[in-house]
Parts: sequence; C-alpha cells; structure tokens
Amino acid sequence: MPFTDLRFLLLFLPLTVGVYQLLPKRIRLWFVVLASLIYFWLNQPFYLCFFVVFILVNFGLGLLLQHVLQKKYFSQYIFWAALLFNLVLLFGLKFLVENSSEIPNLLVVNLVKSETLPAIWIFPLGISYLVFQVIAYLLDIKNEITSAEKNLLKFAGLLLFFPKSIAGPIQRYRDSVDELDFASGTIDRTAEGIRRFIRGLAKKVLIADVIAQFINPVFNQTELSVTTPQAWLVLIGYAIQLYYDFSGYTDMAIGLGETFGLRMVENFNWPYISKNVTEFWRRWHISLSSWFRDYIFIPLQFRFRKQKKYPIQVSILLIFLLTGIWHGLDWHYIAWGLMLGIIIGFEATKLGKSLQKVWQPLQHLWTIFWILLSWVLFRSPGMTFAANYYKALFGLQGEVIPLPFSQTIPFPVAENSVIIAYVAGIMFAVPLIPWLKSHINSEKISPLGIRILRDIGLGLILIYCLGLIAASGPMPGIYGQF
Amino acid sequence: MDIGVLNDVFKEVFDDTSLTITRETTADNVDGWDSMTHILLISSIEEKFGIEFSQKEVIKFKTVGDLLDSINLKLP
Repeated sequence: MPFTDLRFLLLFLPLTVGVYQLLPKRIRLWFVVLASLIYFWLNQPFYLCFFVVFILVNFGLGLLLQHVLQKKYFSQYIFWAALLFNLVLLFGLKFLVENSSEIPNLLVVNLVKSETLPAIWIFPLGISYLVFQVIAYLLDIKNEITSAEKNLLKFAGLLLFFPKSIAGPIQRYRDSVDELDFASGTIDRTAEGIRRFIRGLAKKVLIADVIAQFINPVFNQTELSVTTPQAWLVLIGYAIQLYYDFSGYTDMAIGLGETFGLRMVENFNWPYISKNVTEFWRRWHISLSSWFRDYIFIPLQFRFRKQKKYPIQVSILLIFLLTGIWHGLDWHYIAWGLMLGIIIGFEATKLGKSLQKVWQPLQHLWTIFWILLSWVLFRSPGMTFAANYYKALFGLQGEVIPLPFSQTIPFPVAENSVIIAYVAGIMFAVPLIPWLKSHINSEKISPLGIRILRDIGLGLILIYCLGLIAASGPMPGIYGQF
Repeated sequence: MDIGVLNDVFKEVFDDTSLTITRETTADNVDGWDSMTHILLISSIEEKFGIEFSQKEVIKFKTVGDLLDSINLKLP
C-alpha cells in the first residue's frame, strides 16, 4: 500500500491522523506503534513476525552493547556480532530475492503486483533502510555518541514508523531521541505536514508518474531501439522522474512525520543545481550519503590519515561501490556506483579541483552530463541494455525501429501533460519558489492572503491528484524496491 | 595555546590566508570544510602539535572551541 494508493489516502491516513490528534499525549506512542504494525501487516502480513523479531533482537543487542561498553574486547565482539547479524540479514535477503527464478523482474516485485507473487519472494518492506538505521544506532552507542534506548516501544516506534517504512529517509536514533514519545504533534505541525504531503504527492503523481508513462516503453524494450534525440529526451525525462518520484516520496514521509510529531531529516537539497558531482551527491539522498560519510568514509580516512601513500580515492571508490551494492546485487548498480566513485575520486585530485575555477555554466554542464550518464546504468535492466543506450546517446546505434508510441522520428509525439511535466519538472528542480518567497514577503501583498490562496491551491491539487490516481491506479515509488 | 596558532593551521589547510576562526566557528561557516578536509585538518593539527586524537574524539567535535579545548587538554 504505497502512499499514492487510494486506500491509504482516503482511509488509512485520515483515520490515523484523526485518531492521533484525539488521543491524550501519553498513549500516542502506543498508537503510532500499533498503526505502524497494522501498516506493515496490510502490506506484507508474511513479514510481520520477521520485523518484530528484528526489532526485539536489535533492541536487546543495543542494551547489551551499552552494558559491556567498558569491557573493551567484549564490547568489540558484541558489536561485530550485531553488525554481522544485520548485514547477513540484509544481503541474505537481497541475494535470495534477486536470484529466485520465481521472480521475473525485480522491478515488478513491488507493492502493486504483490498479490500475484508468493509472499516469501517479495523483498521485506524497507529492510535496507532499517538495517542502516540500526547499524548507525549500534555504532553511535559504541562511539558513545548516544546511549541505548531503554524503552522498547520508543525503539520500535522509531524503526517501524510507517511514513518512512517504504523509502526512508534513514532516520538516525540520535537525531530523533527527543521526539520518540510521538507526543508533540500539534494542529499547526499537522497542517504544515499535510501541506508538505500534498506537495510531495503532486511531485510524484503530476510530474514523476506522468513522465514515467512516457519513458518506460523505451526502458522496457527487450532490444533497445531508439534514435539519439529520443535517447537524450528519455534520459532527461528519467532524471526528472527519479528526482520527483523519490523527493516527492520523501516530502510525503517528512510531512507525515510532522503530523505525528517526529521531525525527520531532509533527503534532498536541490541536487540539480550542483556545480560538481561531489556536491550533487551531497545534495542527493542525503540520509544515505551522510550515512556512508559518517560511518565508513570518516573512520577509513581517519585510520589511514598518517599513510601518505593512501589516496583519498580508495575510500571514495569503496564508498560508492557499497552505495551501488546497497541498491542491489546487480552488475549495473555496481557499475553505477563505480562510475560515480571514479568521477568523484577525480574531482578530489588537483586537476579535478581546478574545475572549480572554470566558468560556472560549464561546471553545471559537467555535473549534469555525468549525472545523466550515470542514470543510464542506474535505470537499465542490465549491462547490455546500458551499453546499447550509451551507443544510442552518441549516435552509434544501428537501424532504429520506431516505437509504437512514436509517430514521428526523431521526436515522439507526446501528450500535453507530458510536455507540461517536463517543463514543470525542470522549472521546479531549481529553487524558484524559495527565491520567489524571499522576494514576495517584502512586497505589500498580505501574507494571510497568500496563505489562504496557497491552501486553496493545495486543496485543488490534492483533488486533481486523487482523480488521476482513481483513473489510472497508483504507481509505487522507485525507491521502494531498495 | 590560543586560537591564533590554530587559526594558522586552518589558513594552511583551507588555503585561505584571510580565514578567521572563532570558538563558535563550525564546518558550515568555513568554505571547503567537509569530511575530506576534516581529516586533513585533524592530521595537520596532530603533526603540528605532536598530539594524537582518537576516532571517538574526532567525530564529536562540533565547533572550533571543542577542538581547541581538546588540543589544550593534550598539550603538556
């Protein structure tokens, strides 16, 4: 049941938000845990026990680690055992799911189609995010940045909290510890949360999903056949789709977090305005990239800081290799990670740093060019497809058989909604609204008038989104599969 | 040790002769102070003052003040 499912939007969400607001503060935590368990049960009843055991074991491991912290060697053993448990669980499941012949294609193993597949072969919802949250928690206890949580309910509340169960963000215990009683959801925070949720829904339904319908036929071909202009157009479309899909989903999650009184971390900070790929990766999927930075990159660099011969590029390459693997045990994800690692590693060299002195538009072009090329590997179903896509991008493909939907070569005939989604997608990928806001406030227009207009606008957008979903059905978020 | 000595290390690491730090300065206030340069900064300080940090200390520094206090504790 993704957030764009009408059952979620019209039943689950209003019910949980409404009941939460009516409940006294001391039992709100109980309610959030219960609602989250119900959400998990509705999605994957098979895995409910699995998640309960996962929470119990890690809760116990956290307490044990805290208890033996002063015993240096023993605490090391406990920590490594805990880490191993979580990693084996994550990669064991990833391996099992991806190598099962029962599954035709991982991309369709998603919530929409879940009814048609045996429950065991569906990847447990958001397990990659959960495992990373738990590893951060255990490392923070080991490094004495935080203490182990003593209240099982709070621990379960943070990990199971349903708004972030599908696609994150990776919410660390240390950033949430003050709000884990889930008691501070006020009417104001709820209103702000709902506004953010609608904005996220609009990003997903009106931009990402519209573009998806236009570009998916190209990526779903068994033999890629596409002209060069089409290949670029579709790739740009994918760059827009991925951003609006994932950041829209994150907006919805963060908005829901607000309504239940938990402030969650931001995951995106206008990535497409970056001047280099390093910066892009600092602005994209921030909760994942900062996880790798804090828990792998810094410790590695610190350990090797005195070895002059240890180049920073080794750590960078390793981090991005792991980032690729986190997305899936597939060659195209690994190649995608390595590609990013090589570019970012290059940007850390003297020559790479000198790029920061060139004319700014060229720096943006450099960034967009490499990011677009990296999305080819990310989106392609396999390496052969990706290789053919690269050929098409640079005009090295053979004869092109037109796709059914493309009436004209080189550009396919697109519906108006697709053109609007492209234009809006590019327009809102730069901080246009924050810029307008900072300029409008100083003018004479009444802030109250603007707020009322904004809320009416958001209400209309919500109704329009609901109508679209009712007509075409929900599309699950791309990042739900990881 | 006062903050001026530390300021010189900062100028060198961040390659900026006009850089001025205070006890309240954080990574957000200094151009180029990211995870890569942070470790470089730490090892420059270790080398210059002949001290050593542990990883636990390094990840807990929030401001230049934290860093300075830790250095002063380690200096004889």
